[in-house]
Amino acid sequence: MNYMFERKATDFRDIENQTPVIIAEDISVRRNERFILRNISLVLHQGERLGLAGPNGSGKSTLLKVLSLLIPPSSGRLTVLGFMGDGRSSVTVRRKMSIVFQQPTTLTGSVLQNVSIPLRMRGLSAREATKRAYEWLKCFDLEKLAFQRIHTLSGGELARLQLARAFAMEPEILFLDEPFAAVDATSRSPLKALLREILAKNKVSLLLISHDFRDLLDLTERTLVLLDGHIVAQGKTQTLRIQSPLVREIFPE
Amino acid sequence: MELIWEGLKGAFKFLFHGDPEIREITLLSLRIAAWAIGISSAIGLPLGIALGVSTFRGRDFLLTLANTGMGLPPTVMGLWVAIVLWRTGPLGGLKLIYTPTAIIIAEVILTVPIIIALVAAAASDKKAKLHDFFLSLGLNPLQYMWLLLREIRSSVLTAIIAGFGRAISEVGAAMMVGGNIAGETRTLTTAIVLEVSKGEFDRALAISFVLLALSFSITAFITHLQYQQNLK
Repeated sequence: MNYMFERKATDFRDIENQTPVIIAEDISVRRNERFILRNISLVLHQGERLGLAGPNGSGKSTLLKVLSLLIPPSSGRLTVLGFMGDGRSSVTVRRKMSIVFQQPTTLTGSVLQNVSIPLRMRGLSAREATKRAYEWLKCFDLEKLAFQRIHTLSGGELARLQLARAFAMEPEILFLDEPFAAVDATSRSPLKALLREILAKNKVSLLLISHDFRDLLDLTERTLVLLDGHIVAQGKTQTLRIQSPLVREIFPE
Repeated sequence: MELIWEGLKGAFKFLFHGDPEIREITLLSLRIAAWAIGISSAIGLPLGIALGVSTFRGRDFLLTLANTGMGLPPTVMGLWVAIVLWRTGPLGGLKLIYTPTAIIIAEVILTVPIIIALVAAAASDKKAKLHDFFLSLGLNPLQYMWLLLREIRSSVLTAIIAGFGRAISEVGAAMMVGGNIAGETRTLTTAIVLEVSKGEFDRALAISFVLLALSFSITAFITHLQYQQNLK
């Protein structure tokens, strides 16, 4: 499924030379005297797919929120798509990103409205919004449920809806926080394959949090491991388990 | 028992023949309630959302004030409004005492706290759940408010039902600031009190049936709207 909105294609053979879309330098997040994140530095390049792993409470979700400009960092420098992330309002940049949260977020109404309303908010006409929303529902095999009320959806259907909505907004950066938690094992592989395809076709950058290392293996090239708010390991997802005893501890198999 | 039976018979006779005085009283009550609800919603909705969503220092205090306002005894409030509006009072020059407008003012003061409190509670609750999501959609402040309002539609209707209920059943304040003047400020509730004090139980019962029917049908209608919205 291609984005309907034209974007400049870029050459992907050499990731190192790609434009950085997120640059975080020595980011820290403090809340009430406690450090939730400390000295986080990372770069996400255009089209790159980065995993974020770590035990509960390590700060993964907070880091995702900082990088997606939902929470300003307490210190450090953050640049997202050329924009300084220091707490100032960033409606334009936020519209280039999509987030799928751990807890599904829904609007009252039909399944279709859940995708079309955010599009209308972005200035699409009613007709365009409905059309695009429907196309993306179809992409995720939800078109038959288009006019059903949102509260009738199963966990797996809701998860697919979150993804459909996220992609319908044609983001340059996609943030996923445990997107497959409610998806059953058999449906996961085809869904991940679909995700890979959409990401590749549209050169979308990805930040993925998952407890399941297989998700990280399937969808990311590199992974960062957080522990107590610090980055304790990072590297190619494929070789990370071999490289780092800590990772093996967090993800026993 | 005899009293009740005679009263019921008389009531149906009045209603059947369409007593013009009762009709006039009914229309006045409706007019007053409509204005009261309209004005309190116009004031209470935006204030309620603003308080529910914001995080400034005095917020909790203002919310407590609104909640306290809900429990304000209408008769006491009516007394204070009457004192202010009396010809010898501070706003006496406006000549509002003993007019329907005075009743509307009293009812607005009684209903606004209800609407603010209920809307603020709903807005605050929804905001907690949806704030990050709304931010991530890249909504500007106006869109944020609109979408939030859309999500609390059901609670807004509940607030309006509660407010309407209070307004239509108001009697103490309506008496004091309105004066229960025939043809001018006699509402369904004040008329009932009058008829009972005259011993005219059948008229009182007739009026009470009208009030019941009105209250029930309007509340049922708004509740129906709620269920339509609620099949989320």
